[in-house]
Amino acid sequence: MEPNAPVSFKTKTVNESFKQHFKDEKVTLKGNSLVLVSELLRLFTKEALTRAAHQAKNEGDERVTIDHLEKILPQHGACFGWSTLAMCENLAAAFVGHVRLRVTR
Amino acid sequence: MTTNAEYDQLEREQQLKAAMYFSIKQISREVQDEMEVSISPQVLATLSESLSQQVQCYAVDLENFAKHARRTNISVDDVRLLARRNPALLQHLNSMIEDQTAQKETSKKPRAKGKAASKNNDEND
Repeated sequence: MEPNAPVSFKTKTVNESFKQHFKDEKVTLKGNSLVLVSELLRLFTKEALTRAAHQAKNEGDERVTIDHLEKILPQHGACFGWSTLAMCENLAAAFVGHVRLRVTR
Repeated sequence: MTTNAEYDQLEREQQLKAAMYFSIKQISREVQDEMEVSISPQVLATLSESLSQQVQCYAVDLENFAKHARRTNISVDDVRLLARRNPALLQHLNSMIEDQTAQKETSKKPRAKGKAASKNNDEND
């Protein structure tokens, strides 16, 4: 790997995690398509973090917290194919609630 | 027996999640340097949760796309179909695909040259 190449998910990891969700074991994900899917996941992560960082900066904070993530997650999800806004909001609320629970415990 | 298998499965899932978390952490370092902010670990935990949901969505979609085309391997076109709703993303994928095909062609070129050379020889004969 080139030293200047952006950090991405390892294709092996991506392949294994996709395999878990395939109903048919014959379905395979490899080669160029695997690289593309890894890139999609990398962009998903990077975009979310960058949006959250922008949100934090707009509010005048130096530290990005889940409050910022919560605010950008619906819009972010819409860009990555979460079909309805309601679904995004539910998911976003669920995730943040999940983490809050774990933290307070 | 079944509980043992379930346990193994669970362990595997957690290993994968840990591997994903590691990459998320690396990407977050990149963003921290670029944007000059600090990112709290809770954000990363939440993001890794939503990423695994995303993987599940993508996996189901990709499997169905391939099935619909009566294939068992997921092709580059299936991945493009996945990004169809986001034009910018689609464009980025297309440029990546172009790079990939260009790379393939350059690696194939020596053979093609060999063929062309033999053709010329034939003509000369």
